[in-house]
Amino acid sequence: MTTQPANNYSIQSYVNKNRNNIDEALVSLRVMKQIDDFLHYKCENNRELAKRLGYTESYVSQLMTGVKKVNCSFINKFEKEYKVEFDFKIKLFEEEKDKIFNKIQDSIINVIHININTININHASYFEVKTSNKDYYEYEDAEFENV
Amino acid sequence: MENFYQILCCDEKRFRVFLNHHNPDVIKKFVEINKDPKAFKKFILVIEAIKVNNFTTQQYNFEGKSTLGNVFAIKVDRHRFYTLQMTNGNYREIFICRYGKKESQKNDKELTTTIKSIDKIEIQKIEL
Repeated sequence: MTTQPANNYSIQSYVNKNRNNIDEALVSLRVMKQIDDFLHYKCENNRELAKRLGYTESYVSQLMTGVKKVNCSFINKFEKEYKVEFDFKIKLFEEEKDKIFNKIQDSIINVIHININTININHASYFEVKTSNKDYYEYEDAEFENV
Repeated sequence: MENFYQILCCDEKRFRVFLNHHNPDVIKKFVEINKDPKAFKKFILVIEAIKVNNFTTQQYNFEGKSTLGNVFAIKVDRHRFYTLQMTNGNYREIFICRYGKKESQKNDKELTTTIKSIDKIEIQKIEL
């Protein structure tokens, strides 16, 4: 069997050209994967899903392969039919996590600064109050004498 | 020894795809899919979905275990590309090893033999 390099099959160039389209399909597939796993758990197949939601089997198959993109109407029908709810959450990428972590770190440092200032102010005001208090002086003098 | 050429590599996702150039059926059908834009799009979607670990069983279905790793079927219309999935260091690598048509009662035994033959494969990786 002859072996020839595979660089003619320009998968990467196709991906680069159609990046947005592929990414959109991948978002749809994220939803469909959840449905696929759910169907597996319920021991149901695409045909039954299509029948229950009132779609054709072909349409469901296209959704499952990412050829067609899932829409809100489909999700709504699925939720109502199976009495479930999609739980969409926003996850941060590592870079964003780092940015937020750095921001939090900065604000913690600011808080520490504020606290230190607050302590200084408190201490200063305490000191001022006490310095004008005769009892304090008397007390301190007594202490001093004991020592 | 069967030669596998690297057809896709993604360092960000630590993922590589290799194609068996030793198997005439695989090459023939791969070329056929390349010429059909709709089928090629589906194939790419499967590969991209595997890359981000977000595939449905309609795209990439677990078929069984072999001594080298797990065997999955890449499904594109009636085509089935039997694929060996392995981990090499931090990279996930898939090797498209064998070709088979959509499973039916008629070709059930044939497909089982095809999948079992993956067990005996000796892989020669060729990275471009």
